Amino acid sequence: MRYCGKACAKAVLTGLREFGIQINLIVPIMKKYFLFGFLIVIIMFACKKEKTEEPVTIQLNFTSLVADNDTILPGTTTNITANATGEGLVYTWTSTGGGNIIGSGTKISYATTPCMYGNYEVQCEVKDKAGSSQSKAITIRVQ
Amino acid sequence: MLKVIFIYIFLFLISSDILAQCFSSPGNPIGGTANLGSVEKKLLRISAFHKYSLSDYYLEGHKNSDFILYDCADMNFIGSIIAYGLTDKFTLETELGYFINKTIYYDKRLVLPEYKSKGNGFSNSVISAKYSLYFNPDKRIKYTLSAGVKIPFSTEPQYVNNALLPMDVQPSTGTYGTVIQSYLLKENSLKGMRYFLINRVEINTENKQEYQFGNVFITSLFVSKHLHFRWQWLTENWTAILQVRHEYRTKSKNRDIEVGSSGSNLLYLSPQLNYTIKEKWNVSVIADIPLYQYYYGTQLANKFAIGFNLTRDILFK
Repeated sequence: MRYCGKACAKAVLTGLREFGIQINLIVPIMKKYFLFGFLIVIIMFACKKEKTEEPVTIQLNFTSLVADNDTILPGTTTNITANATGEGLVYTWTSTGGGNIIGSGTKISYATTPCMYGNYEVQCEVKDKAGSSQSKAITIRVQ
Repeated sequence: MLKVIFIYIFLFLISSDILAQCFSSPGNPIGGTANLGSVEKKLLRISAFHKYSLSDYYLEGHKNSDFILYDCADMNFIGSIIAYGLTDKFTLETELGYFINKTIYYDKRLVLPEYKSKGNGFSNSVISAKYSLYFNPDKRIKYTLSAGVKIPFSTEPQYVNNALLPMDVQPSTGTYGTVIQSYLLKENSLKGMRYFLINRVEINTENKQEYQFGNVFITSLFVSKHLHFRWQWLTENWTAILQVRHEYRTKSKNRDIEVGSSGSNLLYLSPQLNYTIKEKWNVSVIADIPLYQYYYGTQLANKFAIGFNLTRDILFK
């Protein structure tokens, strides 16, 4: 047992010595890999998406296009209002058949010229920041 | 000498045509291409001009109207015309114009979200070919015909703040057209007088908005005289020109329906004074004064217009 102990210790010491030499060689490499692995772990944690709450988007809803008076005399004006909900809304106004659009945004005035009789259409297109759009038209009767 | 007189008249015509526009029967200034037809071979004529026009009262027929919508309207227009004589009889010409502003001001008595609508931008361009049909040097008579095409800078209407601009202030008609002109010149060398008779017809087509501006028929009679006074050193470079111009515009159409308040019958008197610098440059000032105005329906009438022209001829040998 004593002999065995001695022999074992010797073998271990020899092995360690030999192994020690290898360790000396490997240690710098291990250090490098350790640092590299450590960095990867940090980056992984850093890049991990945190769970955030989805923003509530308000869907575009063009509810109405209303004129103060939809029947007017030639040479007079009427206000037209667009009611819509959504985000970053842009209102585009067009008239067909004549008349002047005065103003911009949610409310405009529509002016007719003298001798202007008949039905005239005013269109409004509403576009939100996502690019969705909705249109409505209203007919103004001039008589 | 004849060449110089041509330039004078050319300048004058440019001005008067630009001023032919009024806000009640809009569109763009009529041509500017109306010079005296053909220029001599290898002659390059370059002209630049600026015009201001003001309209500030309504007429119903030829009577004042108490209608209120526009308080007034004005415009500033700059343009250039380049003509080149391919031969002594055949001339090519191009015109390009730009509205610095074309503005209507609404009457403050009305309750409106805004009190101004303003358009600006390139107008139509005109490319025309002119051919001298008759020239008699003994009788000093020349007759020239011209045919051209009007090309819009854009066929899309202009929007400001996402609102369609009124037709009255759109810088371009947004459509193609045809321009036919004739020029008759008679010169009296003994009296130092020149007489010009010019006719112009402009045919417009329907634009994308299904709006068709009325056709235009213009007849102009010019008398020009080189100034000779006692103090010749003072007057030798000056020429006075007087024009009487009749303009008839047919009614515009919107979706094939006549626009009630469009079309007119107008008579203008346009005096002009011209100065030649070193026989190379011509500087000209012109006024446009309405003598008689008849508007169909109720329209804003032109009060006056003034203009300034600068022209240079370059002869390539």
